[in-house]
Amino acid sequence: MNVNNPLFRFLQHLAFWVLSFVVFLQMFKLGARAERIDYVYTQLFHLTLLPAVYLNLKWLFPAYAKRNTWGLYALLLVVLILVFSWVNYQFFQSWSSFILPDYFFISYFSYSEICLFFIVYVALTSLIKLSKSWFTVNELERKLLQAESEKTQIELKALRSQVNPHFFFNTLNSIYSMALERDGRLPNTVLQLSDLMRYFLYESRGELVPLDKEVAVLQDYISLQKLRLADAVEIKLAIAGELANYKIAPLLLITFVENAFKHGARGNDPGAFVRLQLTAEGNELDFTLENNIGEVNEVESMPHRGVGLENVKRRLQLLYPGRHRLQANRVENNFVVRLNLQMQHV
Amino acid sequence: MKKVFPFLLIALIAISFTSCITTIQPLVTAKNAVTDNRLTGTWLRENTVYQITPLLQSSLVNKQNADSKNKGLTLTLSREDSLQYANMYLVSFNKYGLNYNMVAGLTRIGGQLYMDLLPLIANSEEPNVFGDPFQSTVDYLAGSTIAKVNVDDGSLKLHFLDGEVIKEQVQAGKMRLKHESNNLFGTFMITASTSEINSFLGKYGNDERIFTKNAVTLTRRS
Repeated sequence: MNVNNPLFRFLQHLAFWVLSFVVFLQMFKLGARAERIDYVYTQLFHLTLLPAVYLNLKWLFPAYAKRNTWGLYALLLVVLILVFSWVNYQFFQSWSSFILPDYFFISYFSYSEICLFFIVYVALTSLIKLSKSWFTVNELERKLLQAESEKTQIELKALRSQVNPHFFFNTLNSIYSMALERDGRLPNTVLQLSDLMRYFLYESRGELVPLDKEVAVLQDYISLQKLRLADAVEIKLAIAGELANYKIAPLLLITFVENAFKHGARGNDPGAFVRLQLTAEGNELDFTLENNIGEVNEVESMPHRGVGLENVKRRLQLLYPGRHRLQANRVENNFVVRLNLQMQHV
Repeated sequence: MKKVFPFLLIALIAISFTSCITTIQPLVTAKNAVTDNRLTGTWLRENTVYQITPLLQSSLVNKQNADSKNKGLTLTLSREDSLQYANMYLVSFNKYGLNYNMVAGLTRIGGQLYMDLLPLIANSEEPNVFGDPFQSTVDYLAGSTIAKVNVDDGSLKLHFLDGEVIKEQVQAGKMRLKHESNNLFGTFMITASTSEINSFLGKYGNDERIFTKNAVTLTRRS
C-alpha cells in the first residue's frame, strides 16, 4: 500500500491512538481490571489530547517550524500546551459533572502533571512526523537520482541520434556530388556507406563499442572522402596501440573527422590536409586531429553548423566526467583538436 | 468480651452514624485544619450527651500528660503534630456504660465546613478481671469518617458520606475513587489520598447524592 494513501495514513493514526488508549487505560485503572469509569476517563482524557496534537501537526509545525521561525513556533507551542492542559484540568475538575452527571471523577493529576503529558505527546507525535518526512525525503532523493539518470540517458540518446543524421546528410551530399560527376566508384561508395549506416543504426547502439571498430569507421569515412577528394587533400593516419583491448563510447571521434573535412579539406585549397594521430596505451586514448581551415560547406544549412562539436563536447561531459581533456583550437590557419580520455579496458 | 469489644465499638459507631464510610487517609491535616468555636460545648442527641472540647484542653489529654509525668516520661510532639492537635477537638460521649472518645478535625472546602472523625479510645467505668478499668485502644486499622458540618448557636448537623451509595457507585463503575473491599465481611474502605479526597469533595460537596439523606443533629445543651 502506498504510504501516502489517505486510508493508510488514517490507519496509522488510528493505530497510534488505540495503542495510546490501551496504555493509558492500564495506567489509570485502580483495580486489577479496568472498570467502566476507567474507559470513560481514558476516552475523555484523549478527547483533550487530540486537538492539541493535531493543531501542532497540521498548523503550527508546518506553518512555523518549517519556515525556520523556531522562536515563534516554540512560543505558540507553549501557549497551546498550557491552554489545552487547562482545558483538560477544568474538564475533569468542573465541567464533567454537567456533561456526565451520572459519573463521579475528578482530575487525578495536577495541572503541571497534565502539562507534562501534553509535552510528551506533542514531542512524540512531532518526532514521528519528522521521521516520516525523513523517509519521504529519502524516497524523493532516490526518485530524483533515478529521474536524473533517466534524463541523462534520454539526453545521450538524443545527442547520439543528432550525430547520425548529421553525418548521413553530409555523406549523401558527397554521393550527390559523385553522382553528378558520374564517378565510376559510386557503387562501391554506396556499399561503403551502407556499411557505415549499419554501424550507425545497429552496432553503435550499445553504451560502449570496441575501439578498433570505432577506428575502422573513421577509416571507412576517410576512404569515402578520399574517393571524392582524390589527391587534393593530404590525408595522413597514424594509428598505434592494441585497439581491440579497449572500449569507447560510439561515434565520439567521427564528429571531429567529419568537421575536419567539412571545414577544412575541401579540395579547392592547395594546402588542404588532414592529419590524424591516434594512440591507445595504458587505458588512455590520445587523439589528435589537425586540418587546415577552409570554407564551410554551403550545403549545410545554418542551423546545423557547429552542432556536431557541441554535441560531442556534451557527450564527453556526460560519459567521461573528469576523465577527459578536449582542446579545439585554431593555430594560425589550421584547426587542431586534441582529445585525451580514460577508456575502459576490455 | 475483649474480642467482642472492637466489633461492638464499630457497631456503636455504625448505630450512631448510619451508612458511614471510612477513609484510611484523613481529610484534615495540619495544613488545612481550621477551628470553629461554635463547636465547643455540650450537645445532646437521643438522650446521649456529647462533649466537644479542644483536644489539647481536654481532660483525656491532661490525664495522659499527668500519667506520663508520673512515670517520668516526656511526651514530645513534632511541630506539625503540635499544629494539628492544636486545631483538633475531642468528642466524648457515654453509651451503654462505655466512654467513647473521638478526635475531630475541621476543614473548609469550597466554603463548606467538613469534619473528619477518628475513633480514639473507649474505656469502661467498671474494672476488668485484672482490676483495671477496661480500655480498648484502636488495635484495628484506624479509619476516618467524614461529614459535612452545619453549625449554628443551637444545633450541629452532620451529613455523613453515604457509604452505601459510594460503595454502590464504585462497584457499578461510575465513581472513580481509590478503595479496598473485603467481600468476605462486606467491608469497604476508601484509600484515596488526602488531596484526592479534598478534590473530590471540592467538586461533589454540593451533590446530595453522596451524603446520607438524614443528618445527624445534635442540639446544644450548654
